Amino acid sequence: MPNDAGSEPSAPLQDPSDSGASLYILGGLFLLLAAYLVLTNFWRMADRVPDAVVLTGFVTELPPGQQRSFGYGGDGQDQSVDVPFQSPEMSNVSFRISREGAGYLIKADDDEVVVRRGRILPGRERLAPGSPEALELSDGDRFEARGTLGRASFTVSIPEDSNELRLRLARPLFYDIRRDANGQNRDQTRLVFGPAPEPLPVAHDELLFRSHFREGRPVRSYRISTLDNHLRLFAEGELGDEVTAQAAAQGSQPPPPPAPINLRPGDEAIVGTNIISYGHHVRPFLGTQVNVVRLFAFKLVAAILLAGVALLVGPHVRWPRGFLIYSCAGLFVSISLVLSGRDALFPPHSGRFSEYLTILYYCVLFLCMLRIPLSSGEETSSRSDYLRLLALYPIFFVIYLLISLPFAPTSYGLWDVFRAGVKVLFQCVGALAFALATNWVAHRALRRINEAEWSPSLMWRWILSPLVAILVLVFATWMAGGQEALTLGIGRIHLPTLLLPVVIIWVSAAARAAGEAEEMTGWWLLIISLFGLMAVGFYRFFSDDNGGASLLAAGLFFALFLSTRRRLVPALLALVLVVGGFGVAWLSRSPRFGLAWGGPEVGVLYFDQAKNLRLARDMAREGGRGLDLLIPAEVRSNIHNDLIAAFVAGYFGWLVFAFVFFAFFAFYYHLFDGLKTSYASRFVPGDDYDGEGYFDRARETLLAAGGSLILTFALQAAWVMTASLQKIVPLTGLDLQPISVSTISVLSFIVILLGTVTLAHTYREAEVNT
Amino acid sequence: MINWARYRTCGAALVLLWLAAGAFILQSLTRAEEGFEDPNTAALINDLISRNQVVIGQAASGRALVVTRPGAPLDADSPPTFDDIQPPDNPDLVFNRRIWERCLTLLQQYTAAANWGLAEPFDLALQDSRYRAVSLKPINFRYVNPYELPRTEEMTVPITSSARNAREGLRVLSQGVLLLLRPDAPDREAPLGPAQGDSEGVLVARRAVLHAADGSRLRLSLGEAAQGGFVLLVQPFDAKDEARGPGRQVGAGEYFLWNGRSFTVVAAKRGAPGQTQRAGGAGSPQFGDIIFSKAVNGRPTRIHILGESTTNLLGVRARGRTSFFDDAIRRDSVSDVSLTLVPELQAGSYYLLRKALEPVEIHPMGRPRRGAVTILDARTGAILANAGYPGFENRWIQGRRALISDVDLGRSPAQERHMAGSTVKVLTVAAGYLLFGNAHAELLPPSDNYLAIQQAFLNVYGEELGAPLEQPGAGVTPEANRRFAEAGGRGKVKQNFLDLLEQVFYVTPLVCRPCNSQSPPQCRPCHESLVRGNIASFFDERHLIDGLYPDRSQFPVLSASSMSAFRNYALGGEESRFTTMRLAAVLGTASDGKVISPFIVEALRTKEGHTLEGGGDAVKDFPPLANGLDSRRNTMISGMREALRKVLIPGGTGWFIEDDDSRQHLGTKPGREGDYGKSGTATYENDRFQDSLFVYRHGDYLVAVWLERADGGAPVESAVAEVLHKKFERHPAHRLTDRLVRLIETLEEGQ
Repeated sequence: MPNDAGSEPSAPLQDPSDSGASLYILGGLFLLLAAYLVLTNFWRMADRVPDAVVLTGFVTELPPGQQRSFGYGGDGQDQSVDVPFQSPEMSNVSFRISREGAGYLIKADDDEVVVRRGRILPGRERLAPGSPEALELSDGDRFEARGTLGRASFTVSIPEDSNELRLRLARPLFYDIRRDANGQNRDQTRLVFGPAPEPLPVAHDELLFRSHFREGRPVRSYRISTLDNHLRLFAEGELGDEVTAQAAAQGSQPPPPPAPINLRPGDEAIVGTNIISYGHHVRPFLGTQVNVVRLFAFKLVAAILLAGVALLVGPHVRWPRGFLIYSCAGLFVSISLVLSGRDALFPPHSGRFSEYLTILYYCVLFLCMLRIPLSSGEETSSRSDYLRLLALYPIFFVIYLLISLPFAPTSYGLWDVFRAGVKVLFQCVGALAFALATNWVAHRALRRINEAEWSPSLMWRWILSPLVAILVLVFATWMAGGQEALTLGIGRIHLPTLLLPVVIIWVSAAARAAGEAEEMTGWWLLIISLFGLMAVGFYRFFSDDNGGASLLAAGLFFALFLSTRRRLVPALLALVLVVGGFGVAWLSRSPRFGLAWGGPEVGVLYFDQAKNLRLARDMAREGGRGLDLLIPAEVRSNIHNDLIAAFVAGYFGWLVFAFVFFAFFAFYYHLFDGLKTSYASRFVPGDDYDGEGYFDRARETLLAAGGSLILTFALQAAWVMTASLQKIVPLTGLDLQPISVSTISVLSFIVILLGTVTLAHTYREAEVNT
Repeated sequence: MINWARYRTCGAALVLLWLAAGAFILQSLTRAEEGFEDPNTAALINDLISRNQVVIGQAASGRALVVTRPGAPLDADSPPTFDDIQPPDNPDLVFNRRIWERCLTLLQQYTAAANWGLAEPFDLALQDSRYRAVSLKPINFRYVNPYELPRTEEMTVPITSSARNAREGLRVLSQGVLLLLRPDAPDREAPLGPAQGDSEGVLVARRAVLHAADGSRLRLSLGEAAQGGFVLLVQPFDAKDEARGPGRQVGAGEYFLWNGRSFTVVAAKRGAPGQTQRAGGAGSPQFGDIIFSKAVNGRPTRIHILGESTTNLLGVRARGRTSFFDDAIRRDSVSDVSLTLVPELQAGSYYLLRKALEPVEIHPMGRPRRGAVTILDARTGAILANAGYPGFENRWIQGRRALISDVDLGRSPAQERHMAGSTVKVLTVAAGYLLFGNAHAELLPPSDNYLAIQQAFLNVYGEELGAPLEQPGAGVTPEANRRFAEAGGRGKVKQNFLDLLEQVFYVTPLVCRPCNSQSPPQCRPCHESLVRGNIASFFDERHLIDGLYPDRSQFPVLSASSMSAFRNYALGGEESRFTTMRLAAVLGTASDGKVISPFIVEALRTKEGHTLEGGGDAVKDFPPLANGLDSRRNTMISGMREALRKVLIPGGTGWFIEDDDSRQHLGTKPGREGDYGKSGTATYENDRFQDSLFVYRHGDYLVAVWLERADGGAPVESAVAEVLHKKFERHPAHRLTDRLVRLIETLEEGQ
């Protein structure tokens, strides 16, 4: 039996800084900084919004039995392609798609092609064993082409009753259209289609598209006009043809003049083999022209109102050292909104701002609902909470309508507004139902923890059940073709986000219970550690996700470390995790580890990733150029994960980055320390606490779980902030929560972290109420 | 149950974690990003290539990488697998499966870089009637922080052509075509198109007719615009020669499409320096008629109106950086810049260079042959044209993402020095006149090597050679060697000759290393400055040296340690190297008795609106080197002109074979009675092909031409009609000079 020696418990005294003015000053400073960044950046942005022609995809006719080649196209005869790509990152002949019977098959040529879990090696490597020759494509499939010059992701779109095949770009290409001071495109932009067009030595701006026209479309160039906020493409005729058309117009059979293509903002048209749309930001509003970017600031005000109302009026959403925590979170969210708002000006991620606000809304709503004490036996308290929530709901609803509706009320009828409202209603009801279910499960579980007689059979059941559930979930994800996420009809479930609280609460509760087994404690801890490692290893094996697995491993360690007084098992676990982590890093041959620890030759090998990372670091080094900072397309898409720290430094400058860096420390340190101190401050000596307090199992479990989550997320934040700036720290693919503009980032930060902490912080009171 | 000590430990660990992260971040700030280097893989690829384990080259069976021409797409196909590869013999090379994968990746990247004309990563050689790579050049993946680069929007300084040398009219530009329609040009219709065998070029006329392959035509003529100036009248005709409609007027700054090609109309107007030419009616100060900025695919792009003819002279933007002259302009203080270049001469020189070299490529040398043309104004010293082939195709450079150093984009051959061949005899004879009042000018018409060496020996050492040389070929004899040992060598070089060389002809007597070489240059300056005086402060001198200034020409008599070396230098071989610009200037000095320091910036306008002119000191009198120099100079002028004139008429070497197989002398055509010049060839060991050169004077135009390994040599002369020795293989520089003079004549007509 392991000889674990426990240390004597000693409750901490209340931290004098818990109510100190310094925390309020610091919190106020963070809030002021957040307000300053938001106001200055949003108003500056609005003056720099470009109109754009957006290349959203490629289209070709593909009758049954035929094949089409796609790629950038080369000068050689065997390198010409049926559908030339605009993006120079693509290889000459990237891939081919053929139509055989009712199905479509994709074959790799110069580039590697990844379809779902399938991978087709480039043509010259196709002899490798196990590599398929071709993979089937169907409507809605996503695939990626990866070559030495870059990569591109596409979504397949196959219109019914048509031979058309459309490939939608995951990252559309944007080209600005200039306007003069009067808002008109007087010189007109010239749009030329052809595999090797040359710019003309004239004053007009030009867009050169590598595109073939389909049969019967002799027009090769257009002139773009942006009058009346619409984009019009006028076909540009050859000298002789123009004259002939005029002459013929006087005869008996005048040929129809080429009709201009009209695009309203957001509309699409197929021109040549390209699908283009028109991005325009000035819209009519109550008879005036409004630059919608200015409204971003109003959206933000709405978001702040939402959060404020939710947290002030909502039931019992409180954290230790709440003002500082709230101000830090406010600073993080503000920075994220500015970055995602700026991204809206430089698509392809123009929808992120609204998505971020939406998920923020749902998560705050969820947080409020999570705190309704269902376990309460006191009718009035529960009824009061429900009434407050009921009063809150219309406010949420109105604010959400404001956030989610488009900025062109004149172009949307009442029916559109009604439909949007109904959609929001159902979404809110769904969130409410899910929150209530979570709440009910959480309280049942906590009550069960408190009341259970921890017999060995119960221990085994408690240890095995979550493990089996985790294994089944991971295996089901793998079977469904996913890796780190399970995609179901209701959406995408990110496994590490789901599994982290499960592992932490599972291990915390089990380890806490094991402490009551006296002489058997060490063995139980060993078994818990092994099962925990099994869960983490199982996830890593099936997902190939080093970042997510390391997060789970950290959570496992912290949960065990904080839930027991024994030393040996946590030390063994730490040793296994460190050695195993390095082993996995060594064996997995991941580009991320190679870039961090390999020599410059690895940079050559993983050129794309290295360039991306290096551009991010360069951007950070040039920090503080704000809107003037041109962010390459390769880097722009990474504001949802590792490279976010470089964005913060590059966009806001090193001073703001230093504030944010410190704010993260203040946030996690005070959340952790405050949680510990608040627990101790509410502890009444002689009440139930005797070192093995039966009644306090749930509280202690919540404390350990909350503390573990804080430490795990703090480790993640410090790692992610460092990784994009310091070469020797490997990238993880994880988020900087909640700045990273992703659903997972907000969900983890607000629901998982703050939800757990507020439960741990207020659980005592809830129990007292009962 | 709660172990508070552990919570305290975790709190402390949080503090340490942040301190460590902060330290990491601070440390990263102090590090500069470096390029990727992989010497092992580069050496390994070279090893594999040398042992034919990897074949890169033109494929006979589609199994190898295909190189049809440098810059053309390569085709990667089926390299051997790792198990099939024979490991390298060199134990220092690390070779395993992982590194083999890296080799393949690198090969693909280099191949892609070569595909888009960004570099020539492979040395190619002709083997078995196809090109194959013989080695990989070590190329680092050099890198610059793109955020430290100047903003592209700031690159808005328009660069215009000479207003002083401009002709009134309209320019019509298309790919590979420049038409100058002038009201005072001879009344003729200049044809251009497949029927005439010309698909590109420069024409000067009052009207022009473009012919399409399907028989349709387009007539272009000048009309007067209602608001003054000119307007272009375009009239299309179909294949039956019937007019298609009433025609159309196209104003300056507009364009039209015909037969799948776009044509742009640009106004040309004569004026004083500083009255810059505009690219048509845009009315914006951003549009010059050599380079201006416009948005292409949303990016501000520098457009070279004259296309490839100026890209390697003035610089292009590649990998986020602009090179050469364009990058040297201090944009914070300069509003626009006017160059001395004449668009018709610059573009025409380039097109004619390309046309002269293309036929010789049936004898490939693994990369495009190079060529250079310089045309100077003898009165002012202005550079009217300075074209080097090959240039850069701008769209290729901007089109693909470049992975490699832009150093490989290379300089213009017009800025590099090359073996001068017999054109150096102009300097030799002129120096003889200036030193002694007389010289063996009779050596020039037949290009007599024997006399040239004798004259050079006398010039350099102040004593007659007095020893026989081998006949024919003027090879070195033992007597000549003995004589050199007595009177020659570094210590015997006369100071008055060195003064003349450096201060009158502006040629160094040393062997110069390139300015950008790692070792310090032996000769200072190692370049010829083209931007001087107070105007120079508006440019970044370092960028001018790197990209615009030509190398210093050298006649390295101080390095002649043997009679053999001296002989070769005297005949323009080995390290006796000149730029075409210096050759033209030497001809000007020899024929006018002036020191010529060419210049390229005619004027610039500052942000404050002031106009500054350049080139005030470009042509000046001789410095006071010796008594009697003035009288000897007059003797030189008359003697040189007379002797050089004889080069161009029967009995001289200035001839070439015309299209009709007739032998033509450059100076016998009407209007060229006052012309003179000198031919040259520079030979290579074990190569039938020689460099072909010519220096020529027509009126005030000084023309120098250099073509790399384009002259097929003497066998052609004796068998003009021999199939293997095409007419373009003998004296191609003479033929090119003739075409250039023709272009000058058409420009001058009616003036």
